[in-house]
Amino acid sequence: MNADVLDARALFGAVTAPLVAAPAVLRRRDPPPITPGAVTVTIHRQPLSFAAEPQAAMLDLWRKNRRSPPPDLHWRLTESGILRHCGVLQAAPDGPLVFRRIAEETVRVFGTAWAMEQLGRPNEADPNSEYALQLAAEYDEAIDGGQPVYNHLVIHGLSQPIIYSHMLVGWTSSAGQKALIACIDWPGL
Amino acid sequence: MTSIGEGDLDRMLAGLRTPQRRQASYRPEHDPDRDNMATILALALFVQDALLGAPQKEVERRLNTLRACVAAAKEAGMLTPFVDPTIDGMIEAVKAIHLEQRFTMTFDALQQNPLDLPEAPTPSMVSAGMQAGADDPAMVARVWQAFLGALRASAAG
Repeated sequence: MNADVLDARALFGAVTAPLVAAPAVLRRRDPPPITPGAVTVTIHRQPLSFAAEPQAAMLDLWRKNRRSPPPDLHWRLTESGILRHCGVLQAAPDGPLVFRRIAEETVRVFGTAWAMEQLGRPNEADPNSEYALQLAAEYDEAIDGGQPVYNHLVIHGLSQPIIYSHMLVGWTSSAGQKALIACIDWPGL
Repeated sequence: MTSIGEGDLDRMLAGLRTPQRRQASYRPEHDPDRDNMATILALALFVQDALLGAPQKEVERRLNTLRACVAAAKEAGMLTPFVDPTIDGMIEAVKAIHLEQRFTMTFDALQQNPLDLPEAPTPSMVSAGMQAGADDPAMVARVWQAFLGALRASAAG
């Protein structure tokens, strides 16, 4: 990746250019063109202690089972009422993260047709590719970093901005299977 | 000439019996006398349960039985410590496979049926629900989703 640089002439404009006459030692990279309708997200990392329900419950469950997921995970999430807020992705060793479950909030934002198509497919195959790639880095950190990740996010490119938060918890098996649960909270739902 | 009675024969053969068998500490079900059948069966049940992803406590019970049978076989001279590394390696490999099975099964249970995806009620449905006495639109959505799930399940037979 090339380092960001500053173009002195761009900073001072054409009026000052003859006065400055400085070589373009630094040059700012033009931002990539925004594809009409492209969905993107801004991500703001938060301390884990900021999490409220249901994400605090998800965090507590992970902390009690950080080495491996409890065999009765489905039952626990159902009984606590968290399951409908959870997106679940799983990867075979050296394989991509694949959607096993999609949170209700996510379905409300992107639609049932999108969700039906995404179930069983890799995250990177999401038609909202830029948004998916931005989230992929967060998913990898939660799984490979061994610590949960809590973010506040704003989705851009939809009919209106969507402000939500997610608590990401992950596990890796000894043979290299990976799994992630994203517990979503969308106050605007 | 003195004849040899049954009692004499018994006394003659007594010295040939393995002393450990008379002082065996293992339980009868771990008895290795029958061609190590107890050990073989314990091994088979341990491997079977582990590969099928049986609950952890069940697999541990099978493993404890296997270890008891192996110990009894060694005590009776039916197995030598020479087999220990092979048996220990096999146990560790099977336990690792069991953990992977449990990991897979845990997330298989979370697999969502596309037919169970939530569908939001239309504005008119929400309005009707509120008029019927629902506290808030979220409650209308949950009730709608519950009805939808029941209808789908009924249609699926």
